[in-house]
Amino acid sequence: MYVYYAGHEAEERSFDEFSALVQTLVPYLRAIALRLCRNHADADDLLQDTLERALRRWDRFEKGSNARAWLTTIMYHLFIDRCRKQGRAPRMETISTIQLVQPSSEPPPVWIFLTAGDLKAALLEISAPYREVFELHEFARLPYEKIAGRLGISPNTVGTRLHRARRKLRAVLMKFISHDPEAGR
Amino acid sequence: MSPGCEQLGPFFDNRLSDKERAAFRDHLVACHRCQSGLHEIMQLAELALELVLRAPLAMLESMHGRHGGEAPELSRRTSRPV
Repeated sequence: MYVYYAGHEAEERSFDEFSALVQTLVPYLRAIALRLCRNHADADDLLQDTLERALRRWDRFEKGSNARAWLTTIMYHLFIDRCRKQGRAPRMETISTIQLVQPSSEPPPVWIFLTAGDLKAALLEISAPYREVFELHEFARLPYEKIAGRLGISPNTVGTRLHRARRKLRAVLMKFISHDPEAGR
Repeated sequence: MSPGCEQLGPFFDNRLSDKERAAFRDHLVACHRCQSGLHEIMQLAELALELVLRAPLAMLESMHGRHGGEAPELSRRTSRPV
C-alpha cells in the first residue's frame, strides 16, 4: 500500500522480502512521522518517501541488521531535507549562535546495534524521577499536563525531566554499545 | 547552544505553536547539535514504541504497579531528583 517498486535498484533482493520487513515496521515509522509533522497528510508523505528511498537503497541494507534504526535514519534525513526546502528566510539567529552543517552530515550508526531490550535495561539504570516521566510520556503517551498532575510537578518540570531522561538514556545506551564487542564491527 | 536548541524536546513532543514550530524548523536546518539530537530522540522513541508494541500488557501492568494507585508516593514528590 505504501511501497511502489523502484525495480532496477533492488536487483538482488526481492520486493517481497523488502515489503514483508517494512510492513512490520510501518506502525513505528508512522508514529514517528506524525510526531515530526503533526498532521496525517504530511506524515504519510514522509513515510511514503522514506519507504521509497529505502527500497532504492535496499541493496545497501545489510541483511539481519537493524531495519528499524536504518529506516528511522532515512526518515530523519528526509525530514531535515524537507525543513531545508521549506525553510523560511531570513533566519532569526546570528551566524555566531548556530553551528552550520553540511547537508550530508551523517549521524553515527550506533543505533543499529541497539534493541528495545537495551532500552528496557537502560531505564533501570536511570533514577526513578526521570524514568517515570519517560515511561509515562513514551509508553503511556500522556501529555505533559497529565504527567504533571499525576506526579505533582509542573509541566515545565516534566519537560526538563524528559529532556534529562533522554540524555541519560542516551549515555547509558552508548555505554552498552562500548561494552558490546559486536558493536565495534 | 543557542536558545533555539531548547525547543528540540518541545518540538518533538508537540508542545510548540505553529509559529514556534516553523521557527524551530528553520533553526534545525542550521544546527548540527539539534539535528543530532533529533536523530537520537527519534531512535529512542522508536525503541520505546517497539517495547510497548511488543509487550503492551506487561508494560502497562509494570507501569501501573509503579505509577498507579490512589495516592502514589510520586504524587507527593516535589524535590528535584538527584
